[in-house]
Amino acid sequence: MSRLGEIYENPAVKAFGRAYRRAIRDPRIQDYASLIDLENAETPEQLAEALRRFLRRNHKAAMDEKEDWYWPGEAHLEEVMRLAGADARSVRLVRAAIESYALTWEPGVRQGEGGDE
Amino acid sequence: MRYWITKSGFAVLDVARAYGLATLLAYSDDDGRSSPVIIDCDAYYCIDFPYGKPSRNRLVNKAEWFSLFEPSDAGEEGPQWNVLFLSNRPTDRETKRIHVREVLEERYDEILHNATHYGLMISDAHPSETLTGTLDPVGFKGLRGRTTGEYREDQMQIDEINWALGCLGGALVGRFIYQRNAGYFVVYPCPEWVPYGDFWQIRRETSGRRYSYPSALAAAAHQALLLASKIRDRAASGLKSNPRFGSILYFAVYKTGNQWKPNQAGRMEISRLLDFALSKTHEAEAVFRTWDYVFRRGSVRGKEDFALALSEFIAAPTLEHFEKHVRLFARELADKVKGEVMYSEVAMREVTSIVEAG
Repeated sequence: MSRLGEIYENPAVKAFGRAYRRAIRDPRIQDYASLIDLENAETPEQLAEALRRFLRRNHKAAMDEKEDWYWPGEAHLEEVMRLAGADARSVRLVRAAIESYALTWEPGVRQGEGGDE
Repeated sequence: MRYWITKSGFAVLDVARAYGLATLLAYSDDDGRSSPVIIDCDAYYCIDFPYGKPSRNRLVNKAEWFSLFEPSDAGEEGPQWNVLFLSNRPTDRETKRIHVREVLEERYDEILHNATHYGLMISDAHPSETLTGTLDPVGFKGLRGRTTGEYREDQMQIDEINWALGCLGGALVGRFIYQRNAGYFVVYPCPEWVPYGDFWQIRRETSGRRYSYPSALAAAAHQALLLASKIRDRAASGLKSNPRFGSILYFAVYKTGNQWKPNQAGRMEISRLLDFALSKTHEAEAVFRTWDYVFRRGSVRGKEDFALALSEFIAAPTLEHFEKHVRLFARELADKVKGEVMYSEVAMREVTSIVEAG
């Protein structure tokens, strides 16, 4: 398996991927700003800042009791940053892994209202 | 018996000659129960026909052989003579089509003798036929030498045996995809190990499935996907004999005033795609379904980048191309993308696993 494939399997990456997917697909949120932040992050520091900003932006929606978000915790953030800090290419790989998980469809999981549930 | 085609370096012409010889053998077989197999052997294409008993008598008495040279009414499934001779005047097209048949019939024994003993080689001793540009883009003027100072170049000519074999293979195997305002995208699958009968079955099943493509690369990538998908289906249904293709050759021709000229051209390696289709049939089905959606969506005006990014990824699965693909897909998410055409978790795992490091 490629390095990207290994990172993709990490639970912390999956947690962020799910959260991004929800933030993009939910028509009331459509948080493309966070997606752009993530895409432009090139160093571990920029990646950490992009992820924290994403968590801040969507915290209220995620904590609303009517919403059942899979919300990444601090431990997930630390794990993602550990993966991203391994070497210079790791940030790109982590970024791509989160983005790719955001594209997946999990039947039975509420994923926003952009398409068929 | 084994028959050999010596490669000339003109990639498309060589592939067409190999398919042409396989067609000639298949149609002239006395037995009719076995099928020639085209095998890529580095400097040669080998046509392996161990149980075949080809004969000229059989060929010239076979109605199907003559029907190959009739003006096609079978759409993409039939021979594409008119498109193959696109750069010729309409009145010359029929003459050339008939000439191809006459050469193959009259010089049948010589073709088989040379192919068995020496390997059919393009000879510059008696060049007599003009290589048409839609058979191989090197046939177009202005590509082989410098035209500075004197803006002219002679037509490229080859011997009539190889010309006729190339034309037969090109008309039957080349996929000429018409695009409004863009001319034709031409796609040839390069054989690695291909039983002739299986090839035709796959070709029939994939004909007519096309979208509007933003480039020749996208056309080639979608045709590669259709090919891989069909080979996957065969493997999943338990068929033992699965053709192997190494790459897809593609180019575009477009009209400039009265003349047709070549445009983009290239070779797309597809062996990894086919390995994936054969080794992980279940996962590949899910991935191919999503990719087909991307090409369909990318055929809409304004969404061309979507198809182009995936085409680049299929051609070269690098991290850069993968990122481009997922970013464009992410922008589609809010646009009512149905869950059934999105990647499943397992499908995406397989896609990430083929992304090259580097």
